[in-house]
Amino acid sequence: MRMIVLGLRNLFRSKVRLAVVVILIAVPFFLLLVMKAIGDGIQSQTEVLKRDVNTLLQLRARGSMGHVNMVGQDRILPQNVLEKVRRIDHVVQVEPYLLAMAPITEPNFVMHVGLEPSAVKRLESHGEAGNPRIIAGRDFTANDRGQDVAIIGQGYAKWAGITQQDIESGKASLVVDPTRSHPVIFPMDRPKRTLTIIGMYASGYVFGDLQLFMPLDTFRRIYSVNHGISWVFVRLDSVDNIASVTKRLQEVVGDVADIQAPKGAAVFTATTSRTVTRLAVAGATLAAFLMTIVIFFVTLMQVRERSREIGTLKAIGASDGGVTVEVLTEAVALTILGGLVALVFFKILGEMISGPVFAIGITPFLPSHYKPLVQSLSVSNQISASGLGDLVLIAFVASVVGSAYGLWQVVKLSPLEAMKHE
Amino acid sequence: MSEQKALIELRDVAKHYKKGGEVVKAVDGINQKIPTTGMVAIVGPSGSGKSTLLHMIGAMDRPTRGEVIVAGKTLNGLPERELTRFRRQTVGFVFQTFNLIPNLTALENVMLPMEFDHVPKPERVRRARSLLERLGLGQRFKHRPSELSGGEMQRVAIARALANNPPLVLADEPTGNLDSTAGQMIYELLKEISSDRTVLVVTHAEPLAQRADTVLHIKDGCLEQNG
Repeated sequence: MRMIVLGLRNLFRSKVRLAVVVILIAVPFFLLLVMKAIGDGIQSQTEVLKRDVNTLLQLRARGSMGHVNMVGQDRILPQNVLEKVRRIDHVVQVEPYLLAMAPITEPNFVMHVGLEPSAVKRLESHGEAGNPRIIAGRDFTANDRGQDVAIIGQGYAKWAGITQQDIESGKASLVVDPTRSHPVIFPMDRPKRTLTIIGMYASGYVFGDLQLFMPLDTFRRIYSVNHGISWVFVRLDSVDNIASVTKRLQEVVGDVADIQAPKGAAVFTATTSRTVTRLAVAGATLAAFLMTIVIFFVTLMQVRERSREIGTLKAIGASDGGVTVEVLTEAVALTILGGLVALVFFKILGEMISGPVFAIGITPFLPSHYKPLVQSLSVSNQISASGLGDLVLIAFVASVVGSAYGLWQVVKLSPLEAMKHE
Repeated sequence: MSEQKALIELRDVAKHYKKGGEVVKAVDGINQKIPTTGMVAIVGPSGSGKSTLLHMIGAMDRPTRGEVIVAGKTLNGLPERELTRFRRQTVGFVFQTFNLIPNLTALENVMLPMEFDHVPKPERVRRARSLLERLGLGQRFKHRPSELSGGEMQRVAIARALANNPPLVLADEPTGNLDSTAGQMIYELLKEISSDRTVLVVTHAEPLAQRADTVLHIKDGCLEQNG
């Protein structure tokens, strides 16, 4: 017990050195926390996506993409499909979408989506599970139903010259012109309409960021689609009922609808997540290694500096084990202090700094189409009890491994040799 | 001396080591018995082997040859664990540079060997206070070494050496870092505590050595004469 107390008291011999060492340990520990947060963020994003996508079915008009102005793909589902689908057992949610394409210069076209304000904002191509993060302005509310308002993807906003500041200050607007055409988009004889942009989102996907969401009624008014639906997303109560509900859907609406399970998004995101998680684990390993190196040098310095004292302790009756406990206590305590400092900084700066760390440390190693993830990733500065337990374990292992050589030197020193060192 | 019961018995004790390809005979075949009480001074020039001999008697070093028997134990064959116990219970060390633990108070420094020997806390405190008071440091319990004079630090070191009431105190140049007044006082203290134990002092200071009950002269690793 005395040796533990001695080890703890040794910490405060030099306050300057204590501060320097604690910071040196805190830096890799902080990086470890950031890497863990990134890993956890990606993990939770993937889990949500998988859970959502796996209980989801999509209906489109048979043989059509269902975009109201797309050449050869403009057939949409009849309105009564909604009622028929709602009546099927195990269906817990039905969300209608209307879609139109709009030509722009590179990358050629964007997607206009009409939906209920409370519906999940699903993304073309890769983000069917949806609800991208709002990065400026606000989300829809029930009051937006029928209003000329929209939420824009960051890619589309960039093309349209709309900034986050414009949105925050309430000055952002966009003119929707249904008469504009493209080799795959036919013109619609409808007047232009100006929508107020109330929010901007970031999805993490290039195509996903090229959409404009507006209330379903607003869409109907602009494109003069009084009846019918482009897509219907059907959520089930359990993944176990996919087969039975699919069969029932085919019986009820199979003559007019194609039924799809949009699992591509989950597969894509799971692949991305695996890549990013591996990089985060590599970063965390590097941080733990750095922490071990710092502890290695600190312990070695302690042993060299205090060899006379160690010799004295042995000469007056301290066992090798006792002196080892003293040095190890100091190393572990330094690591814990470094960890606590890192935790405090992580609480304050974690959310803010995880993005840049992700951008600098991980994004360069990702293929270019993954890079928008940096915008969409939501990293929390919360640490679970089990996460904290893992970190304490890592810190303990790092302090034991890092101080092992120094401790071996302690055991090896005879009291006489120790006192000869100056 | 040999007529009294011996605390220490040295039988043909030698310590040889290699330095730059040459064998150095630091101690070379010493035979000596040292009684259970009294002050014994070991004097000799630098490099004569007096500190080496002291370290072997204190179980801090092992002889190359011969036997070192202290308080009935032959130290040569003892495992490290037993040597640690021996240093804790049988020997008290007083060093030239005091070797107090800098971040402990005087009282805590004196209590340390007792903690290693698992003495209960109230007893540790009582004994440490008593020893410090006996050595004139009653007002210095809470002082750290950096707040004490050289003489005071050495008195704390003597108190620490006496903490477990060992039968043997080994002092290596205990006055080497002190002025003559403080040195004289330390010598008097060592002399005083030798009334009920053996105090073995290594010193260069011949005048101080003359106050010992026995003086052992050592030169080139061999004892020259008994005083």
